[in-house]
Amino acid sequence: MKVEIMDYCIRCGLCVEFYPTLFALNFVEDRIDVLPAAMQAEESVLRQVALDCAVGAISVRKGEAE
Amino acid sequence: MQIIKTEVAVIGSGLAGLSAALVLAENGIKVMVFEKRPFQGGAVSNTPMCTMVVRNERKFQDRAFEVHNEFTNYNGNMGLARTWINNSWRIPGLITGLGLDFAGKVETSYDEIGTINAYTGGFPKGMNLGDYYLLKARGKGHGGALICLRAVNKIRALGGEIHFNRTLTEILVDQGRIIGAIVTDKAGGKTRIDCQALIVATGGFSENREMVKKYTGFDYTDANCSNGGNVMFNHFVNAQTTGEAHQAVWAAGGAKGPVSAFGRLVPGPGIVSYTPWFTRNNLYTVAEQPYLLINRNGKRFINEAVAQTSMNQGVAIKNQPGRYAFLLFDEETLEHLEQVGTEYAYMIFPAKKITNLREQFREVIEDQGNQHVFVADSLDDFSRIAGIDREGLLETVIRYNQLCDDGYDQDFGKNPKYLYPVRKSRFYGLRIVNSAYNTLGGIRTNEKCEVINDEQKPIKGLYSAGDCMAGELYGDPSLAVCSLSTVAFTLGMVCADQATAYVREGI
Repeated sequence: MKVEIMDYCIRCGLCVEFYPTLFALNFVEDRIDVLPAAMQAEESVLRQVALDCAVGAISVRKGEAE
Repeated sequence: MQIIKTEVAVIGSGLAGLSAALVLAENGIKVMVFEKRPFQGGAVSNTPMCTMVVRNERKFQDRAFEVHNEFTNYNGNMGLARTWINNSWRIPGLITGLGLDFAGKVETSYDEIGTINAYTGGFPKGMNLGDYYLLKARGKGHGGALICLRAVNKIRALGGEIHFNRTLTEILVDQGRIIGAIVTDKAGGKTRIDCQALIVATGGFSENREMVKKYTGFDYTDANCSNGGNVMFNHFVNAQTTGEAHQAVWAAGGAKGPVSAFGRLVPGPGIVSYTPWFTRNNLYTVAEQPYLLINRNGKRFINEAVAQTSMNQGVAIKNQPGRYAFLLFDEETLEHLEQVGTEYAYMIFPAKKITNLREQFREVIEDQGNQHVFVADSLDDFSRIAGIDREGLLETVIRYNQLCDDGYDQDFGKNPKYLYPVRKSRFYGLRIVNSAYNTLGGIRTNEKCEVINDEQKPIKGLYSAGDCMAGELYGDPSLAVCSLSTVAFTLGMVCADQATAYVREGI
């Protein structure tokens, strides 16, 4: 699956809080990083992750990760 | 230097700034919003979304105004308070206009205005002044973030512009009137904004340690109180709230207003998430219970029943040595918590019954390494590990237990139903320090949200709304926790009304 953080992410860190193996806060570049494990996660998990985002800034699509 | 032109520039994209920009755009005014971060939002982005509305009926507004003035001891800008109270009814329409719904509404009848049990702790004494609207959020997030995102989209759809990564560094004034501002990008590049009116809605300056110390007396600390500081800010990490806009307003002639930060929290680790409105266990709820509260001298200092309101407890803690306090209870009270339940459970963290509390204490202390949570077999041990004066503690506990046995709190008048003695080992405690969403106040305005100078004369075309100026509602000294969304929404809209009239008619 391809997981992408959209540019309107507000860096609240909820995704990091609830899914620490999939996302990390990058303080240096002031963004949320998608960790390698996210690309291998089950689709159902990723769909839930996307639903849990406060502003819907997590995009989950079928396809190879870049 | 690049120069861009607009009719009104709004600095800050939290609730206050976006409310202002939305109304301006709807009024057909050319508006640009400038935001320091690469995305919209402010303090509200990371908070549960509940807002208060005073009904648009004269008697409700009169009563809410009366309560506000009484409980601020007539210390605030009463004209501004009336402006806020008279205009808050506009909030639901603004939110539903963004295509958002409310999850519920809690009405306050006329007779209930000014009673305890407000749903939020920022008002004087926690008094409820109006109806509470609970916003339906998305996923595990909080509704404030969604409001800000939808507002940005609508502002753009109406022809407004949002410019991210732009920090206000200078306000341009000519003969007492706004003519523009300068914003700076991350690379240091400057842009001059030529505008007729400027609205500053930049929130607090919590991450500027020098300003926090200078204007509040607090020493900034992190969420774990790891450097011995005594105030924690309840926003999400890396908020970059460093006060450039405050400094720009003051440099342009704006008067300096009082600044406050008076809520309360138990330091981590292991209490709340770094997204502060998610708790890791029940200890946050335990900290709000009306049990014995003492300072580091072991002295009691408040009717603990008012502790459910963070402002009440926070203000009292601010007056204690070191600006912190300890909640203390014994094994029997712990049993009561588990068997019977809490005396008070904030709606955000519903926890009527608490289970496995001993394990929660153990986990936070031993596994998380929290230095602010204590369990001891004796009061002597408790005083030692918590750093409380032993003689003071013992004297207080003896006195307090006598009051409990008498069924009457002669010292602070606490409701007898909350008089739980501290007798039976083991003894449990939590250190409680001041906290706030952000600093509140610093910019002064009049009742029209016009920024004023030391003579209380307005700087024409300069307005302010939200946390950066809401100290005006409470006066000097300011005793407020946070402006709350009701103030941000409402005064943002009022700024837009004023700026619209000023741009169109020079009023």
